[in-house]
Amino acid sequence: MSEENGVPEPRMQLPERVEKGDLLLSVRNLRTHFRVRDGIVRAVDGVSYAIERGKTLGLVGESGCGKSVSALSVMRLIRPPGDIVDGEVVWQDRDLRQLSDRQMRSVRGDEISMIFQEPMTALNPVFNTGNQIGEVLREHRDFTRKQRYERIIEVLRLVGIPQPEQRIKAYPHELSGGMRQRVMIAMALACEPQLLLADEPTTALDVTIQAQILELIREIRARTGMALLLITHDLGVIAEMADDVAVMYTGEVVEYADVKSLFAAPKHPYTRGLMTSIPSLVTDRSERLSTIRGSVPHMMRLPLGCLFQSRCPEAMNICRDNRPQLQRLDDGRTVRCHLYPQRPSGHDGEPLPQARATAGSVAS
Amino acid sequence: MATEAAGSGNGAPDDVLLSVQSLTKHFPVRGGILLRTIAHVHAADEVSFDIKRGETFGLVGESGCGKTTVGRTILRIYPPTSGQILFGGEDVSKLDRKVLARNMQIIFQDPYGSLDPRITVGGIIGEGLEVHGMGSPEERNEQIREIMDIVGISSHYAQRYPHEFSGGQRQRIGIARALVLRPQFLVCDEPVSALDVSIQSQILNLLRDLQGEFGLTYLFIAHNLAVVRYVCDRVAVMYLGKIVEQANTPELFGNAIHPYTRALMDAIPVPDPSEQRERLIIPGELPSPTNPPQGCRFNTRCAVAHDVCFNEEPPLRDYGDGHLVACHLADDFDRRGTALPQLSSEMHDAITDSVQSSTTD
Repeated sequence: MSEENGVPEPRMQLPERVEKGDLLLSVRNLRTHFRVRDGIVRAVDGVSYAIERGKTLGLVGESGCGKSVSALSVMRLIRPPGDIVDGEVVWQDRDLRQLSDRQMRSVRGDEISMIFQEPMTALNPVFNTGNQIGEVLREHRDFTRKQRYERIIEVLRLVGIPQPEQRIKAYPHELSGGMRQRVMIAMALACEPQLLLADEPTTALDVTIQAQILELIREIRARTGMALLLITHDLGVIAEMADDVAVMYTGEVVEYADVKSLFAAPKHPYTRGLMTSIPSLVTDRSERLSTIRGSVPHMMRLPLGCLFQSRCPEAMNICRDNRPQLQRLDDGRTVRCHLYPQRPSGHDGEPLPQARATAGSVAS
Repeated sequence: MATEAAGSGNGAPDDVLLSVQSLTKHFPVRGGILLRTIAHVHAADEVSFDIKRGETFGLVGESGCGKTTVGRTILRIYPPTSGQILFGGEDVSKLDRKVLARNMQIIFQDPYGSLDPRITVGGIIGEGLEVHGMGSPEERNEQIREIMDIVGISSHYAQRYPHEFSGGQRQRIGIARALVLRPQFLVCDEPVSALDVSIQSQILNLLRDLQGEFGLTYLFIAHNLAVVRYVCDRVAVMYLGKIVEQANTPELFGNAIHPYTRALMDAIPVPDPSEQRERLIIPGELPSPTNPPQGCRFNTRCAVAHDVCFNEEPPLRDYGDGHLVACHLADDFDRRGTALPQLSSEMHDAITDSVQSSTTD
């Protein structure tokens, strides 16, 4: 909420490498707010991220952090009381926010597709598999009946559905959870999108089925060169799938880095807390789990300063009243935390020597 | 956690608190105009295990494997089809319900659905005390306040309603409700899987503290192997209503034998991007529990299934130190961490096809 602090957001919120990449999608300063009876919920508040052609960006965070709302905003699927109040969604030199509804419909499902966590609610129960996938093709392609049928069979086969000639007639309730998720992926892939937005695509599935679906997405990504925005709360899934990761907390990006740097040395206290609090297969069983104390603050009663302050083990005086800005560290990644002293404004390139020294000593 | 030598199988009988013996639970499937029973869901078949006083015994498996059914049958929420459950040596089915409730309680997965929204938190926690006629109203209030402080909810909130609390706090209320009668044994049915990741570790630490404080014995039901590994002393892996492998935790996670257990472990995404692994992804899906496969129930998805696996059901055998495995080929696997053979693509297709025919009904 820069306007309240009177400090303009720094221009560069993206990690250095991402900003210089061949960007397919670039979300800039996105703000999506929900007007409810008691006030305004700032579900997404000044979020920037970008996806390079063929790459995967992971969005991590807990429920309510705004990761799903940001993806729905990209697709312009926000309904009242929600509204995109500010920001740009640049898709290959076009701002999607400026398109007419009709133009947006031709992007949705063709150039950009989305899959959701719960395939049972995302599929229409009264249409069979073939109809659902066919609808996407009717909207975006001038296929004959026969061409359409062949394409449906082709994508069903692509997503690993056995006997597609029979499955094309199956209704959603006749399919298992894993098969439904495959059908939804088939729908999303029917027009060979350049970007797939996947919102918790495996969260509702059992682990062995999750492994199958992740493998499938990996295969398709390698085969088609599709880029992926992967939204999940599972750091394991992120580690296996993503090239870059943006960590979100209460509507803001708090840390943004390539996946290896992030896991090797998380900078933000929230990211560190997330990584150490989850038991893994190598956790020491004799020790207590480290925890992030407290819980996510109510979105209508956010503090003035850093949004993580009430849970942060390293909170300082400055955190109470000053909302930290996202800033780039020397290694090119970005973090939103007062532990890393702010560079003087106007210096987007080389940091001042003393600033670098301080940042280095804190980061170690 | 509390017991040290969890692997020593032959303890004195009196250190066994709960003994599940050949527990079978079938649910009828009704159909047709007359709603006659047309089939049975084999939710649990001949499940046996012992839980020792003070230990945490884990039941893992994917949805539909029967782990929740076993937990609920132990608490007499469902009557068993056959088999028996002994608690402290006594047959649970012959115990008075109130005696049972004072000794065994359950924590549910869903902290939203399992608390009555119209009753205050103090009322929810104190309901058990009231039903059992324990103490005067003042004494009951004192006990409610005490247990709330123990689980980490300020007792000032006793007059508030469940919707005023976050998921983690509601789970704490659920734990307080279960503990107020001071039971010896607690069934924890997916106690953290509905919670946000930053809250899960708080609840796991709390469960561990309470076990130390009250000498509790836990049956811990979960699908997350990393959580189970951290919490449990011994673990049984279930697949389609059967225990396929059981061992103490270090043995199971260091030295799993059953192909299903290995595949489950392989399937967990590892939060380390520098690790490149060869993983075995098992094809197909869980067959229908109304009509489980002949022979070994895992044969439709197993990479190494032989003829015998399609004809004979493998018995659960002890491979030393209480490491039980139900697999015909267990002897062939080098016990020290040899990888399973990889699937050839034809085999993969064959298995997928056979799974298809068995999953569609």
